[in-house]
Amino acid sequence: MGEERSLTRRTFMAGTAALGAMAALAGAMPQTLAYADDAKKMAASSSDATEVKHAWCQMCGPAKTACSTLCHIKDGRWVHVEGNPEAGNNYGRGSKTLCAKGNSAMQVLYDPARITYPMKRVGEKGEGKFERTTWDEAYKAIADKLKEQKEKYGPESYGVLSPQAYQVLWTLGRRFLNVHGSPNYMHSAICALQRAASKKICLGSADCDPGQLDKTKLYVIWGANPENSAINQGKPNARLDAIENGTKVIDIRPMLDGLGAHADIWVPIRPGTDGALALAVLNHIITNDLYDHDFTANWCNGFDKLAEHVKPFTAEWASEHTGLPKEQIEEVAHLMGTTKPMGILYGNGIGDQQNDGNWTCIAICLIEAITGNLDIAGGGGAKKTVPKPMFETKKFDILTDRLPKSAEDEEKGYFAGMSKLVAPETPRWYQNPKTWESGPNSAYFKALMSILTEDPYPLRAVLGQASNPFGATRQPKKIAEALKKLDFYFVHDTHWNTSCDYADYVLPAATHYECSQQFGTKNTPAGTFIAINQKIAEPLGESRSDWDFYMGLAQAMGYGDDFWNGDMDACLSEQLDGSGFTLEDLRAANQGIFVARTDGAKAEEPTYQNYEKLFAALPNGKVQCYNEWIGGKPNNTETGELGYLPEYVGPPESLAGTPELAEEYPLIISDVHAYRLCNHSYYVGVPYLRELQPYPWVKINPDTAKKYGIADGDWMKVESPHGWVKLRAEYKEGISPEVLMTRRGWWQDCQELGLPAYGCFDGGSDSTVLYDSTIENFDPFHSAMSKQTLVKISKIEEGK
Amino acid sequence: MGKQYGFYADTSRCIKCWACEVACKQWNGIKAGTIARRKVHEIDSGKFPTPTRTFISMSCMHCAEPACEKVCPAGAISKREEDGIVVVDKNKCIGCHYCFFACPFGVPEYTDAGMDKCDACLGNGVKIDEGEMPHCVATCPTKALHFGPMDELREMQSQKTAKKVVSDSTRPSFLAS
Amino acid sequence: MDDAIALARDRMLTYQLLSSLYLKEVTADLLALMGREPSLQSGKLGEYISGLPAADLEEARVDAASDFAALFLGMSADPVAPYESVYTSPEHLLMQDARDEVLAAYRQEGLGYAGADNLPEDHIGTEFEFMAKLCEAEVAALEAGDAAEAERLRDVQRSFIREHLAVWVPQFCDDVEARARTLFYGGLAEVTRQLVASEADWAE
Repeated sequence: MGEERSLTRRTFMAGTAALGAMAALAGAMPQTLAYADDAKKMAASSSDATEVKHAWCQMCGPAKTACSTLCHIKDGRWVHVEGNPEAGNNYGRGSKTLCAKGNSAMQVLYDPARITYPMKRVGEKGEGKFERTTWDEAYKAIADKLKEQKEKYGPESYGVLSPQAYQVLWTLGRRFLNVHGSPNYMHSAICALQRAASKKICLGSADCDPGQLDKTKLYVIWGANPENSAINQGKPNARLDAIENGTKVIDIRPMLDGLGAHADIWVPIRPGTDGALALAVLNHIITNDLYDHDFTANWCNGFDKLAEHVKPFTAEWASEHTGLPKEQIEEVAHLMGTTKPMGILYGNGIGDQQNDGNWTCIAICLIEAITGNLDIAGGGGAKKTVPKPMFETKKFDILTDRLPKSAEDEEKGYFAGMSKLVAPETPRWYQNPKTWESGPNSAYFKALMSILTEDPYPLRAVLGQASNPFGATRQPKKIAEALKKLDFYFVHDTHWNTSCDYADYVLPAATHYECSQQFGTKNTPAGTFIAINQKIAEPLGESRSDWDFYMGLAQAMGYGDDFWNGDMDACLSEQLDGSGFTLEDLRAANQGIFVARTDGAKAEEPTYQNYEKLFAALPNGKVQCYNEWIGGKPNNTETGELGYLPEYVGPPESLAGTPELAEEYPLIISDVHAYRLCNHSYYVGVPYLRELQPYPWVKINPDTAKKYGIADGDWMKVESPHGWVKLRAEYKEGISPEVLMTRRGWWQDCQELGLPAYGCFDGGSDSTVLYDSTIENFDPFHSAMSKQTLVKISKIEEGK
Repeated sequence: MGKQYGFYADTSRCIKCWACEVACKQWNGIKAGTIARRKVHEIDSGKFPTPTRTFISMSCMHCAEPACEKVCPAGAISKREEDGIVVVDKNKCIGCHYCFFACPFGVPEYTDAGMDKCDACLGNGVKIDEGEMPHCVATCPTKALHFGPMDELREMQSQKTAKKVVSDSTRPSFLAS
Repeated sequence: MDDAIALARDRMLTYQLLSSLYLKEVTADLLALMGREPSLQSGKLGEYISGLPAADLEEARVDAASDFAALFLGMSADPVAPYESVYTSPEHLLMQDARDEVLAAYRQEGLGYAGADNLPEDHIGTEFEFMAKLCEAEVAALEAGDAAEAERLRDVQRSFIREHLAVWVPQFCDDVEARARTLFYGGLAEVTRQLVASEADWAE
């Protein structure tokens, strides 16, 4: 019986065994196990001991140093995480708080679908056919190509995609661009930088956001979502303290979100119409003589021109566009004009996601200014002065001076590199690399389109590191076209995304938990904290860190002299020089290092109303009610001139602006951009986060849904004039019957929970396909793109 | 008995960020897609344009007179003398679900190992008698969740507008505001 | 006894082959050898092999390599993670209990991880390699006349099959077969499933 059975098994295995024998003779078989003397010993002594290591949380994006965390590792496996009480996260020392994302971080390290080896494309673009290669081969191919293109087309033919606020690109990436000779940092144009530029040209160094919230009587939140974008970074906690303290809150956002639920007044404005509201508020304040006469007389440039200009922008006019009742507009305007101190926190929802974002932000800044709320206690800015850090680290040098200044730059009085920008984000004449918000920057989407239009010239090589162009910008259909035509595209990422299929090379990225190459500091009145990411695990497969990626690329390009000959430790040591800490000190500190302040210095109240200093860089040293910084000067596409006074443009498709279109597409849609369960379009596959929101959702008012026969949880087709998606309806009273709100970026599946990926093209679930992407419609000052459109909806039977 | 410990949820500060839910899962080794010891609940009222949303994070109430303990046929549930935390011995649990039917708050959940619920992080080594906080409380970014002896929690709650827990026959060790 | 040695050797060679085919891309040389092996003519793999003589071997190798990348190296929207932890942990993540358990099993037999790349030790290729090593040791024991050691090794093999291979490999094979773009990997999945089923029967 045994013999019979073994014969059957042998017959079954005859083929494979024979092949196995031949294969063994033919060549080396891969070996992953070997006999080792200490193996049995290790089996016997598997410990339950836990070690604790420090890491900066990466859940708001790679290379962040916002929240310091302690990682608990048991028997080589990362099992727990908590906020580091030494660091001073959130509300200060002792805080162990972390958000939902921070609490899920260990799942990112153990993502089952990581890219593990360097890959070279062997099929057509979009086909998804790749073969494994080596880092050496890949670097050589990339370097050869970049050198060839530099020779043939000039170094500006290389551009790099910019993900959200990414320190690798700010430092090594910028340095590489400068040494190579390209100005084409392809900035998203969806960023705090857009708002920073608008504020700068209007208010100089003054701020609208209150620096001493405990003294603020009225806090206006306008299109800002810190309960989604920065839960653990102090603002939500501070706001709740202020509310307890008597501060009144007005929340101007289309959807009633977590912090909005605690506001005194919710203003459910139609997405994309904030400019109209801001102008109406200015109108009301000026018409009703609520403005600060002293301030406007002494510190405003062209106040009378502004006053005249805003006359037509009545509450009634604004009501048409914003969908808000006239009475509410007047109520809000009146409160802003009569409550002091008043501060305004305006955010990504308006400045960077609207095609008139610049004037909208400027109008809001002017509200803060003309009511006399700038730089007063509890008003805009006027933060307490924090005592100096207990030690200094050196700033990373991006070698700005290495970017060549062309003859055209000289002739036109531009800073170096500006005339070679393929798609200037802000006008060439405006950009100044010495100011944070200002470049050299090309705009991400426009720069990719240059590949198709070849105007002024096409980019020839693009690097995508930690950025997915199908999720990060507008219209995936156009992105696919551009990437298909692009000569050379190379990607460095942890996980596959749609753009990988269009790359020539895809390199595996290690997470920042797998390297120890970034330190950060936090300075508070209690003292100064410094810590480096300690390695939680060795890089998976052949993945390499974002930092080492640039070091290797620089070596392959022959730029080693400018890049520490590839030695990231040398780069870090240089930054630590003079701080009193060595790299070894930091790498040995499992909780980071806190240096307490011992001289008794405290945060002090600042001097107030430092207007001469704050407005020094502005024309005439005054707030630009009539903007002479940009007025009459070329816009960013050099197709016209910028205006002097704020205008309302509105979305390309809107109920009030395009009423004929609204007949077929009667509802407005936008998306939340940042959300507390993801980092833009990344981390959607993390199990703890995905189980809280498994399906691509769209929030819909129940009355509207019922009109269309859509029940809570039904899937619906949502179609704009530009594309369509499938989304799962979720009933919500906290949204207008005219408006839908969704969350973008569902391209990652979660096999862990049996949930699929939803594609990024028509028929998928990524709202990115719905919006207008006409370059002529983008903000003429800072390239912001409209993230609102009109849609029609219907129920669909088919779900996932 | 020693001091009764419990939770206090301050709805005036909760923003439904879910940090408490995820902290609980990761510290207690609870796998995604299975159970949850702590949940953030939402209570809505009103209609657009003036709806209200209230968020409250809740787990086991560690009742003074736990119904679950009373009905357990296997003697798996007990209320600790020193701190009043109600705990379950999974080795004794037979998975009969009586506790679920008895609990006014629907707290007990079940895995292959037995009934599972909040144990104030005693099981993962938090020393509440030394003033350490369960991880949900430690992680809350907006200080909306508190834990401690009930008298101390009452002191905190007195600064706010108290909310009454309606089903209180089992005398839950839980406060809300 | 000879039959027992022959069986153990065949199993060793089979596990070695499968191990290598899951750890690395198939080489052109091996494809050529396959074309000449008659008893692999059935099923999807048979179908694939029958097409080989006429095919451009280099092209076939590249096709198979790109399928390998899309399946096992994360280069697609829907890759298959060839790690036991992913299949048996409730959240389907790497480096969970299964990995700890198999690592302990390897160490118990005096084996340590020696892979050149830092990949989790519960990779299907490593688990098959473990089985191959156990069979190899069984062959050595039988040849040395140590029946007790041979039986002990068979017990270890049976446990490993029952507690690990039989638990996750069938589902893994289904996933590979569903997503494979080439008959090579579809066929390999089919053969793997059959092998594990047969082994599982024996291990009962």
